Amino acid sequence: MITQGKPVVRSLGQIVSNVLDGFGDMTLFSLEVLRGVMRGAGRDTFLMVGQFVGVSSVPVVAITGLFIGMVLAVQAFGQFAVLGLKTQLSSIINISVVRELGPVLAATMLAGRVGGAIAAELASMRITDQVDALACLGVNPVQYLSAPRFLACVLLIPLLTIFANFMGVMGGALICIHVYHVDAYHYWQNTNGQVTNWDLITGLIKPVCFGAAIALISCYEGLHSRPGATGVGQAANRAFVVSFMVVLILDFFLALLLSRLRLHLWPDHPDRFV
Amino acid sequence: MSQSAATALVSLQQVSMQFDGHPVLHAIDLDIAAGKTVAIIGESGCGKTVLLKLLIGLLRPSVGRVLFDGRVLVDLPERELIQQRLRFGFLFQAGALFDSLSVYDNIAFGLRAQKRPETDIRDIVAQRLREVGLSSQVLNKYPAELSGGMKKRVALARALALDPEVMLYDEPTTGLDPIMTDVINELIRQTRDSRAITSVVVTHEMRTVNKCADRVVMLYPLSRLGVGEHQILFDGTPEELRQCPEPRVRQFVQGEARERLQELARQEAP
Repeated sequence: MITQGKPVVRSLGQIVSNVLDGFGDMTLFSLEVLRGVMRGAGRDTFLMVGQFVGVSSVPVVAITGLFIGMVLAVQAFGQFAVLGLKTQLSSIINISVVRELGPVLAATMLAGRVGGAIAAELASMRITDQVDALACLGVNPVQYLSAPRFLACVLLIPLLTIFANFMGVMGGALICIHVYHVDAYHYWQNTNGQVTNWDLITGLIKPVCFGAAIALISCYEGLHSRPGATGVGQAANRAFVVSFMVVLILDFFLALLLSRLRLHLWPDHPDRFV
Repeated sequence: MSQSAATALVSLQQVSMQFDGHPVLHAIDLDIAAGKTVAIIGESGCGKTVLLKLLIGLLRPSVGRVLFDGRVLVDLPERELIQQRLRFGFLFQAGALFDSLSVYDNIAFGLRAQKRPETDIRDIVAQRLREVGLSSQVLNKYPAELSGGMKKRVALARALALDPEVMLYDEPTTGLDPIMTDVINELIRQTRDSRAITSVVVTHEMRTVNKCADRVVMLYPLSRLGVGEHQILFDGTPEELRQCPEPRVRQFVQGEARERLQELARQEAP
């Protein structure tokens, strides 16, 4: 704790100190979780955790993806129709879904559904001494509880994102082809020409990073919760809010990094202006 | 190191503990000899549970050191710390049974973590369950389906499954009816008598003290201590406790509020 200097400087110093402290703590926690993953800690619970993270999230992700695609189609149709570019709608809808909206909105939904639930569950275990009980029974609680959740998020959130992307593409096509009567052949031809393998790959790199961030933040918040029902609520709330912000920040830096990488690999690509 | 510390199985040396700048324990010296049952008594908030968690290395003291079998637990490498912790059994206040596991899986948890064969595990679970007076019908139940007394007994069976050398009980009878309180007290006594086990019992219950303890240590809340007073207000046998002339000890033993109500009201006043 900083006790010297003028009050304003002291408060600023305290904030910086707390932030650095938090970063250090989170880094050590993340390394501990990775050690747990390497050791296969908590593998007996992986199926149960995977069922919750993956299978139970399918409806939420499906609805999110479907409506993203449908809304994009409705919003973009007017603009494109005026210019006589109705068949080009597919490129803007599908690139937006696959590159950006699918991964980010699926991660946002999962930060709420999965992240909040993980934090609340671990916080409840902590305040009822179940975490300490694990330590007394010869198990490293951080590794045992966090490793399967981390693995489940890193492996299954990308799969859920693929599903969200698929539903988004289908939602866009449903509205464009069946409601606005855009020619189906040209719609899919344009998609084929515009959505590249690179878009699909970047759309998969992002959710791996989002999944890791959601798992680490949620486990950290849960295992560091304050006592009582309020503590559990705060842990769940913080897990969602922090995960959501980190997903957005990560998305920006990943978009920047991946477009630079693309330029490095293919210097003539139109993304050179990014 | 004093001679008693040298022979003690568990030893606290000048241990102080604080949370967010709030002191809970101050300069505690306590040696616990092997095979003895020590009851730690005192008002709520005087640091009894914290002391218990310090003993097993779940908490690191702010100052001082805690020795188990001559070694500082919290300084050991992880693998060794886990091995040493397995020499302890811990009965938590609310049982701390794992909600998502059945009674069988709860009791078997520590054995599975030690990679014991499933046939051995089945025998040990059945035996421990018999020892705590529960039938095999509860094996497939989940903690949410058990009464308070049953949860405590399952938690005791789980703590005993690994044959610990030291049993730590955190308020084992809190929230139980008088009959179930006596059942748990009997189980603590049976556990002590049937194996060469060292026990530390944190409790408010004088019946538990009288029935189970060889030695009683009374802690007093730091906030209510006078200047220069030691936090351990009493250290002796249950018989000596009953005859202790110290008014604060007598007040606790007899369970009398006396002027405490006015004192609490004064503390609450703005």
